Amino acid sequence: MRRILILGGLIYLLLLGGLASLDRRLLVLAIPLLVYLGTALPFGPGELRLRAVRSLSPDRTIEGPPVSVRLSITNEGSALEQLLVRDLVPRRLGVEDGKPAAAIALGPGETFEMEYRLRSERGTYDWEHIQVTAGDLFGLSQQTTLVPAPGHLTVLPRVVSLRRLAIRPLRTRGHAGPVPARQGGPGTDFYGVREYQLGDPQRWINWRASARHDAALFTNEFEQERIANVGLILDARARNEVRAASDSLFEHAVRATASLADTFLRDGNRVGLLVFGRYVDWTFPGYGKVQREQILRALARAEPGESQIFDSLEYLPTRLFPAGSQIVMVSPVSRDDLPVLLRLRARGYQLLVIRPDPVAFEMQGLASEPSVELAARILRAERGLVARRLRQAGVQVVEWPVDRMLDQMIHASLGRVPPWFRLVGVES
Amino acid sequence: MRPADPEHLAELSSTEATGKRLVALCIGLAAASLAAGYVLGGRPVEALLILLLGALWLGGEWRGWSRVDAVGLVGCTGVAAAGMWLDLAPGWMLAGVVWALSAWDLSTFTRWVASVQTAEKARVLLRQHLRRLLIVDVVGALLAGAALAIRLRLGLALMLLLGLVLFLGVSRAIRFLRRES
Repeated sequence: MRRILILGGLIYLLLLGGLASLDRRLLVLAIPLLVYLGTALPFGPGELRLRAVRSLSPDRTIEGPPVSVRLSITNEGSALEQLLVRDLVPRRLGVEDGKPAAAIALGPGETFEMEYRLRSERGTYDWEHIQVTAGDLFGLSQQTTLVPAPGHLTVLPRVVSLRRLAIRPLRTRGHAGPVPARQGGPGTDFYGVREYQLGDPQRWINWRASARHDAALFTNEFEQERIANVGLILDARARNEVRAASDSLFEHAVRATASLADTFLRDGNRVGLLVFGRYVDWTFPGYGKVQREQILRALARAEPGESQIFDSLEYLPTRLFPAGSQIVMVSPVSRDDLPVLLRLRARGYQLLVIRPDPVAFEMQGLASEPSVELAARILRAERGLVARRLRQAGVQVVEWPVDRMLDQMIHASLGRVPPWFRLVGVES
Repeated sequence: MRPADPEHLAELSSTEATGKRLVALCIGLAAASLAAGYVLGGRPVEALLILLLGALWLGGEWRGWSRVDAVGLVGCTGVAAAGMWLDLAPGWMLAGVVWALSAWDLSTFTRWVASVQTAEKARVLLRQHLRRLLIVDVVGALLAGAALAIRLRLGLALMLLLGLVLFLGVSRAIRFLRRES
């Protein structure tokens, strides 16, 4: 209840009681309360004229280190006796140090500065206002208003350094790079033997093959290495999100996507990103540091969400990716998603699926009971079946329990190539 | 200003603790004044109940119950009004109301001053507020004391007129402060 109503009610009751009983002593009791009320009257907050400036340090960061928020509030109006400044902190950002609220008395023209630190959680955050409550001398009357104090913070996902990934898309681009191009030419890996042509270096001549023919020389041919088109797909459908304690499987998937983008771009590839969830967020393919920044910013704003249209991978806009390019999908991939992935593979896309393991992730927070163990076994068996179907179709699959290092899991899965893999055209 | 400075936080909490101690002191004095008035008037049971009310208020403040300060002020003023009606010593009753008003005010102010970011500023604001409150209390008590001492004979019509003026004045003041809010 407002303080003014309590005080006013008491004064009224004493006055009424005094007048009704014609007892002046009751009226006397009201005098200290009246003096208190009368003193507060001339010191009301009046019209609030405040100017607020917000500065964030830094305003773009990688998740982990704290972000410092500094607010500078200047009183451009009359004196304010009791001022409570409260910053409206976005819900996902926790305050690590200091307080986002401050009480102060501000004279005309005076400036007050406050500072606090926030935990940097991945995302993009906007501040619009601060809430200001001004009161009189005794806080009897209070006036609350919002003062504009805009600010923007981008917290990028953490990038883990990965070793080079051996990808073999059907088509590559024209520039030299690290990806084998399935074409003979200058390179390092042996590709084949062809008839000697004028201008071939002498040290490339395959003397063993040439010795078998009387009138011809043969030259070793090497596989050209070029850059490739890489399309990253992050599955942001809410049904794939699993939360355990304060951790989220989706956050691990975002970090994995960021790390993959960083690795492919570092190798000089042309990389695009598609975030597929509540809506489709498409980052047009590009090269280099600028593209890395754009992809990380897109990943910063990625949120798991639901959409009737995008609930199934059926509507995955695959035409965004050039034909024959390498697609890397970060998704747990359920049985319903299989037909779409198999169709992609049939269209000639080279597909690598990184599968964060939701079963292992959720099991970390569950008690070890027979029913839980049984459920986990069933889910693991189903995941195993999906993985087998994918591998049979020539899709590279990396099963990733998120408590393990992604780099380790990728190279453990892709390092050795089973012989039957070669039969379906995937070499590594 | 460094928000994480433990010394700074300790100083801040010491200012808040000072404010809380003052609230406790005012509650104690309010309950004691009212209880003294009742004991001197030969009503020890009621005095015990008043001390219980004070203890409840104090406990509520300690545990951070919301609106306990309002209940305390209303309770103490009600007890004082009843004491006046029962012809108990008016000075004790008046003192009880003044101390209760101070406790009510300081309870809110202490919560507000806890959000001040610099310890030095918090101390200054607390001192400034105490000075103002002291002046208001003294002026209120003196005026009330004078009103108790001075006896004027007023006709019923004049008394009703003065009552009406007082009523209207208070109404206007409250309306003004509410409009400001």
